[in-house]
Amino acid sequence: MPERRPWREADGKRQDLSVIIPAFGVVLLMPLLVNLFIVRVRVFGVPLEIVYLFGVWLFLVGAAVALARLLPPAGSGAAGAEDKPARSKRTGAT
Amino acid sequence: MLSPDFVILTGVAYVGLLFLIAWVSEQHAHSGYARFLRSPAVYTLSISVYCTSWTFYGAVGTAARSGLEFLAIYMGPTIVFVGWWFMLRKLIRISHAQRITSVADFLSSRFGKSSRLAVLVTLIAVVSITPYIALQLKAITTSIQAISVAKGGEDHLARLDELTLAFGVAVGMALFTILFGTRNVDAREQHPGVVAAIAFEAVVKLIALLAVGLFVVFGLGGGVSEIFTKAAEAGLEIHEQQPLGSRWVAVLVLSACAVICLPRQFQITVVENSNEDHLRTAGWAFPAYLLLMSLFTMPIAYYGLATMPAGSNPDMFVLTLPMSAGYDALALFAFIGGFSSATSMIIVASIALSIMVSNHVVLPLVLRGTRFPEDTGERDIARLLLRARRVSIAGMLLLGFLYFWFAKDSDALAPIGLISFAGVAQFLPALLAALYWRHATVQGAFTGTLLGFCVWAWTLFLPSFETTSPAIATLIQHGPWGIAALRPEELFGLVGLDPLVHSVFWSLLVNAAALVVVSVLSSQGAMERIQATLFVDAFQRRASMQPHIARGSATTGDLFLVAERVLGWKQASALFEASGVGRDHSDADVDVPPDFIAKLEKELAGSIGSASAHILLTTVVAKDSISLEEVMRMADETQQAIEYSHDLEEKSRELRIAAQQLQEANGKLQELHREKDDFLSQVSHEIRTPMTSIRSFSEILMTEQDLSPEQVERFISTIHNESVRLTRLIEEILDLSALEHGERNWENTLNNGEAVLDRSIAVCEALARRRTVSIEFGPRACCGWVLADAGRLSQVFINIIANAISHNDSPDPRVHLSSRLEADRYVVEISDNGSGIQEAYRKSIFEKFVRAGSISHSGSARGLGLGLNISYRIVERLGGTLSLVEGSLKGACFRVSLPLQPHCEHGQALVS
Repeated sequence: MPERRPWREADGKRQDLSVIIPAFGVVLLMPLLVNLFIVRVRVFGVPLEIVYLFGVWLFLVGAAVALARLLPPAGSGAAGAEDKPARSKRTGAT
Repeated sequence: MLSPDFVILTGVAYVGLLFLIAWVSEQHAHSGYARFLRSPAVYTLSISVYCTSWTFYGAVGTAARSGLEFLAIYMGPTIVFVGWWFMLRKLIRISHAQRITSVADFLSSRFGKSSRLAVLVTLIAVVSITPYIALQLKAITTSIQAISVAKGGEDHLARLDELTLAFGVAVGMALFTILFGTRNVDAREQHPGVVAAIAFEAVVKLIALLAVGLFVVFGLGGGVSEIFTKAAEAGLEIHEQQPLGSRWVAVLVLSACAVICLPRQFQITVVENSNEDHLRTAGWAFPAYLLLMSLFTMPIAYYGLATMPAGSNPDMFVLTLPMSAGYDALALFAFIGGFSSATSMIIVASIALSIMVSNHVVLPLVLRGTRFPEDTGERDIARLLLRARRVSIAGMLLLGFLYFWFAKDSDALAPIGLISFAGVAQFLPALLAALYWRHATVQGAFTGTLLGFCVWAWTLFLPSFETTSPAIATLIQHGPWGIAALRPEELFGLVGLDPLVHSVFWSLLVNAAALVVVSVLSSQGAMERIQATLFVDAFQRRASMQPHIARGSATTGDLFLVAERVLGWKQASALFEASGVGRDHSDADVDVPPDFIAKLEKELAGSIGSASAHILLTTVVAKDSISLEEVMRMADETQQAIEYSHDLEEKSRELRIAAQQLQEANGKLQELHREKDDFLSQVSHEIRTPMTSIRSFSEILMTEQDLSPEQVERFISTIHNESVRLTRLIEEILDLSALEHGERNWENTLNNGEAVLDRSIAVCEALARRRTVSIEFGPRACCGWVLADAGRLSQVFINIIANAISHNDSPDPRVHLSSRLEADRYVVEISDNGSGIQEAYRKSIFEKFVRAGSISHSGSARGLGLGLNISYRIVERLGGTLSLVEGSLKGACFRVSLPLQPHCEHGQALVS
């Protein structure tokens, strides 16, 4: 099933995302930004800073799920990487 | 309350269950069940060995004491795993390709298979992790005491004190780890049984924590919002007290480092990974697992703080909250969860450390001490390795136990989690350099890691003993020998920082700076250069570029002996057979291909680490092997040769072009030579005919006395005619030669072509009258001023008109003349009504000695075939053209076309 796919430009953009999303995660978790949410406000009874941090966390998990679907099979990797075909379940779907 | 007997026996039974799971998994590792064992789900679950009892119990305690900080411990790994494509994928790709067995092996392999770097990393790992193991022992004993506190003295197991309990746990864990972690020296350090048990424990601890969380939040607290409200009402500060600062960042960085560098994480994430693509699932599933693990931490902490009596240990809220509500079964389940977290950490950490100690410390020592393979004796490397691993597992747990014993009454263990993280974080600069910086050297990596480790030990590890040793407390207060600048927690006067941040800052700064500076100042060895390329370009290069350590310098016999001792007879012979390397007695002394040696080294590295494998093979093949430096030099020479050959190719291409030009020139020369020969033979032929007749007639005249005067006169006349012909021929040849060489004085003046034409016609009129050829005139130009030598131009016209007259074979011969001005040219056409020029001669009519249709016209004086050639050359020199065209009459028509001079009007005026 997982034949070696031709290299596509979209794959490159998706690989960029694989770096950009964690980088955003780092920025979102920096004290400068988190401190903006420490304002003694409660959302549904929960302090806002906790809601914010869990929100960032959920976003990262969601983004990772999306990345897992979008990124090319690990085996085909960066341009002309390796020959071993990846045994991904999703290879056909991406 | 639960009886200590029951709790301890439950723990023992649980360990028994782990044994069973591990055993069953080992048994089925090679059947269909193995597919499940090697699935992304099991892989992800096993990574959660990151969550130890420190996080299981301690997260609630941290949340109760310092608010949000516990989240940072999970956020760091989340970011690393979400970014799996960037770093973890490369780590795993390289480790699979190079058969890496541990983080020490990884660094050692990248930096030229350096033994000393591996030893240093192993040492740091042991120093950092042993207290961490002690912390797990502490968590287990504390939790057993917490859950069974009320019933001391009745059960005989309850009489066991903390130390005995901890010792029992250590022994149990050592047994388990030795049984399932050191069953054999695998080609790749993978332990399906252990991984299955760890994955199972991951499920247990998650469910246990979720169960407690759900129970506390919805069973006791009445919802999340209610819990926070109650806590606020109880006077607790539910909002973060102070804005997050450097400590938050430091914990984020440390946890991100730890999830890569901790030996147990490296073991599970990288070494036990069976398929790179499993990261795709782990990339989101592991962060999700961490999210679930910490979902209820805050509510449990606040509910505990609000409802439990003052002075309760918040670390044990996970156990004490269900117990205080009377739910012993849930408390027991929570205890099992915490127990799972502790045991899984102990098991994997001790396996990882034992591999490092045996591969990088014990084996190199043994190898250096013996001359292999001569000095084999009873020694068997595989067995030696297993024994070393078993001993080091036992030793590690013993060390952990001793540390626990030493520190049990102090609070030195509480912060050991982050101290441990900071210790292994010292691998990170070297690790990043290994992955992305081609020019990092082993000196740089070694210096950086060593200095970082020293700073860590001084600023963080040493101060953790502050409460146990007054001497250390004094040292922290005043610095060594009273030097204030060296105070461990205020190094170089950096005050006002949290000790953790202080230590992380200094140690990583010194580490990275030393790595960079020393790397820049030192240079790489040959092996390092090769390995650096293999690591940094892991995605670009294929496996083709492998360091060949020797060129057919080892015999199969020697190599098999080595392979057998590490891999065992069965695996070794399978390897040799698969590679088609015979090891019969007859082949025993045959050299083996270098490819095979490289492959064998890789296989051995999978068992004993790259540095040891390299040492081991070099002892066998070193006798007449070529050194790596030599290989690299040869590679450089080859590179030079390639460049040189490029130059040569370029030169040879130029030469080829020159040769082709020469060949063309030669062809032209030969053509000219042939023409010259033809010309000579033609000339000789032309000369011989009149000469022959002159000779024969003069002989007749000399020998025959009785000739009539008429005859004599005829003969003499013939001789005269032939002489004239001969003279004319020679003149024409001279003329031609002069024209060809352009030597003749030749003066071009402004001439009226019409006037020259008229003169030429007048010259030819006598001939025309003799031949009864009538000359007709077509339209004439008024004048045609051309720049020409009048005599030469006249020669051309005369030649053409004379030809037209003398070669005309028509019964009513006529010659037609016309001239006109055509744009900037003066054109004269001379045609006749003869039979014309045959098709075969039309192309060559202007060449030398070509006479068209002359044979049919016998009787008349034969042309020499030079006239038209001479005319053609003259016209050419005058800048015009002489061509054969279709004329008004049926015979030949020659057209002379000359460039007109712009002085036409002026000239016309002059003439008129």
